[in-house]
Amino acid sequence: MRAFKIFTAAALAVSLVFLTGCWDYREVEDMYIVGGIAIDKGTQGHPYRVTAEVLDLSSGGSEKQSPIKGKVLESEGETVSEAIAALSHRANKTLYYGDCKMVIFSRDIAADGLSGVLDWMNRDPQPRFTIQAYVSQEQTAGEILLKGSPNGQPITLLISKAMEKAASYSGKSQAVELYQLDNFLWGEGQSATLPDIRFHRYEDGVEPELYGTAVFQGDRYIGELDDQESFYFLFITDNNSGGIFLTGEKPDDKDISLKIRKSSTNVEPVISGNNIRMKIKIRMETSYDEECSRKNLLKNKGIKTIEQYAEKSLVKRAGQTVDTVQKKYGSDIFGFGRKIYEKDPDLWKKIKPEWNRHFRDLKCDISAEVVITDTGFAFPKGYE
Amino acid sequence: MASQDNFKGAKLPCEKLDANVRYIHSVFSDDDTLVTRFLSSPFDSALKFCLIYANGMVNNKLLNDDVIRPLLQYRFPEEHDGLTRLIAQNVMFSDDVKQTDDMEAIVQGIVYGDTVLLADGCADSLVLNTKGWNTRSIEEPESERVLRGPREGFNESMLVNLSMIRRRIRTPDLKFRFLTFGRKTRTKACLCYLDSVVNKHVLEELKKRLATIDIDGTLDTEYIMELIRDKPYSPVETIGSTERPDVVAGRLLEGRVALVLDGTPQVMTVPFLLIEDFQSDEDYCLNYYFASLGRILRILAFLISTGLPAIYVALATFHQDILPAPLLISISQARDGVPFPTILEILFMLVVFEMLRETGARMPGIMGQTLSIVGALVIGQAAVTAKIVSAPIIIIVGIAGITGLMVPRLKSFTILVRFTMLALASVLGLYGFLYGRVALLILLYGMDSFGVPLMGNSTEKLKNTKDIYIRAPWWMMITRPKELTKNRIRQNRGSKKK
Repeated sequence: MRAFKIFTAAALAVSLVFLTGCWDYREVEDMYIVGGIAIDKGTQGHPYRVTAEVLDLSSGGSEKQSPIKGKVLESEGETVSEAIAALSHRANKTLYYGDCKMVIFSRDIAADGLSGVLDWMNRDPQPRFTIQAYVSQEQTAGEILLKGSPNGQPITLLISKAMEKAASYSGKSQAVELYQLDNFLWGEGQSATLPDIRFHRYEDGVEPELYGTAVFQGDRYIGELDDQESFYFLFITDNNSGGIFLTGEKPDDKDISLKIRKSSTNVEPVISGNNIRMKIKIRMETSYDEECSRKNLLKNKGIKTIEQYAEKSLVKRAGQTVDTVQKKYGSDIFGFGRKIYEKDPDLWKKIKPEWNRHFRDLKCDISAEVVITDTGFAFPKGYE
Repeated sequence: MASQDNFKGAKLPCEKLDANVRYIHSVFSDDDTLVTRFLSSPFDSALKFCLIYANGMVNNKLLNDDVIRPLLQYRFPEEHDGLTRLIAQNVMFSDDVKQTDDMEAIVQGIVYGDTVLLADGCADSLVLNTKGWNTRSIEEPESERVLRGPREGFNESMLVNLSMIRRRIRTPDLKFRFLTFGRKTRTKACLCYLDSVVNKHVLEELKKRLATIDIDGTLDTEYIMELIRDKPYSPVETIGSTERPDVVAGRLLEGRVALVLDGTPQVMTVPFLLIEDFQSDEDYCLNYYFASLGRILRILAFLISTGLPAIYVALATFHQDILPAPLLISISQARDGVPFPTILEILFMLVVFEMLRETGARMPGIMGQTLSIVGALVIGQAAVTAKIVSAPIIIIVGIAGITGLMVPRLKSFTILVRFTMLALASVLGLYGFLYGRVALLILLYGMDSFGVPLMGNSTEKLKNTKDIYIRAPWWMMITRPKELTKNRIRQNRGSKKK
């Protein structure tokens, strides 16, 4: 009996090891950590070409740890998944996508529709939902990874680091992560946008930078917003996280720089019968950062007046951005449809099939409240 | 005859001095330390005596001044009823004189430093207390040093040890019951407890188990602890042990029973709660904030020491997804070029660490230190440089090793758990680690020490855990621990200053 008990216990313990079905032992050095991938159209008869930057961590036998280098692999396939598998084959190591920071789409891939390309990323357990997605403004997406790295450092790590900060410095780009993109594509009432990535060209080389926003209709890429339009687009979608706002006596003047401390936007549909208007309220807290004209506006006019100037400028420029998008693309990247859906789901069901047409004619009432919290200057005596 | 241990019922054979001496000699044949001294009274040469004692066990000055001198100077009267009784009552200066003809008492007396006095014409003898041997002085115990608090430690003499306990608890409520263990060694032992506080069930259980001991010798309390403990195969101790009289006194006051064994400074106490291993002796002598901090750190150290290598192996070989990217990169970089799998690396370094520790512990003084430092530096540094192990392994093993020594009394158990966890994590990843932790909890919570749960009331409401995870201020510990005693009032009212 005792022997039987011991045997049973041992058998159970052993089966715990082998019947769990999750044996995924792998040593870290047996895999390449993928920093990011770029997806292009294939050039050798395959529909897809995947370029991946992996982190090359080998120290080449030296005792000290050398700086991490990037290493770019390319392969093509009938599907994204096949191309990815071919990458592993080429690398002779398992590719590990758990720390993949970004995926870059070329414009032609994006124009053909993203939903097919995204499927692998959504389905495979390794890539996370927080992968950042970009659209390349260069010829291909792969060249960003291939040529981008200034000194052999992994470009993907540089971009993802820059992205964390860039938004709050300029307020002109906003990272879009995979799950957000999924929400745009399959959620209600908001078209997708992705930040653009392009090369900044120096005399002796290139460096990737974020510039502008790619606009989608459905899952297809249809055009671009430049960086000014991106700035106000982010304002309206309540995604602004900083940057400099320029204003002056007239709405188009740029005498005064206001540093944005905090901003929030409230979008509310006003529904009366069949008539829908969007009420957009932007509130912005700023500090008075610079006045580069000789008009001495702050002293002469006072803070209140300058706040009013800023409000006027903000309303005008935001209005222009909405206008451009309505006229040029007719794609609801501001998520007005979603606001209607949230407020009145029944109405949304009715107007949804015709929403693109409605959106082009949608009237917006934009109002702004700008507060200058500090002027940031200790005036010397007699300062004019 | 010569190999006989037991003299129960045997008596001195006759009234003749020579015959009696011969008999005792035959018992102690081939024992050259036995001294036999014949005397006769200068006033009456018919009065013959013999002193028998074991050399080295007696205080010779005491023997000369208080036994031989009065015996030779005493003018024996003509009439008396029994020479031995007369000597016992009128002649001896010795503090403890037993008149007996029982061979058991005589033999035990001789081997324990008493002197046996035989008189011609008497069928009985006197066993005189002339014990006197050198003992170690009272020092601070090496393994339980404190920065603040009493520094006395037990030594190898039971009576000295008992005196240290008695001096701390001066009440007739403190009971001392003598016992003897070991067929050959006849080691004396003493049960100590506070009669009004002790848990009677525990005391009875202890006595019952002690009565079953049948072994030739008990040289340390560990012999007894292993013979009577609750789960003989368990790696966790279920009996406490200390070298400090203040700790014993503290435990007696909480209702525990102590067993002091002659010949060892280790005193065992029951019942035992696992948390006692985390309670430093200093906790009660330090400000309670620091004492509590120290105790929390010790508990944390145990968890880290047993878990860290396992977690590292699980994360580095199964769950890279959980690691933040920079950490994954740096581990991966460090692993580059190392030929062994992570589990072998860490096993190798853990075994090296245990070897260094063991060597350091056994080496005398300064040599041990030098050896361990050089060993650690040379082996650690060189192993990384030579790419035999990766650098994070050294950190992990170092942390596990250091934290393992923070709870010295659980040292061996910590090592055992650490390796078990490591084995589980290396085949099952984090799942194995959790499985191991759960098994550990089940094991610990399933154990008893003399009818008291080993984990005590650690899961009870906060009120009853004042001395478990933290050391509450004394004014707050109004009652004694619930599981140890029924007589719970320690302070009649909390004496916190209002």
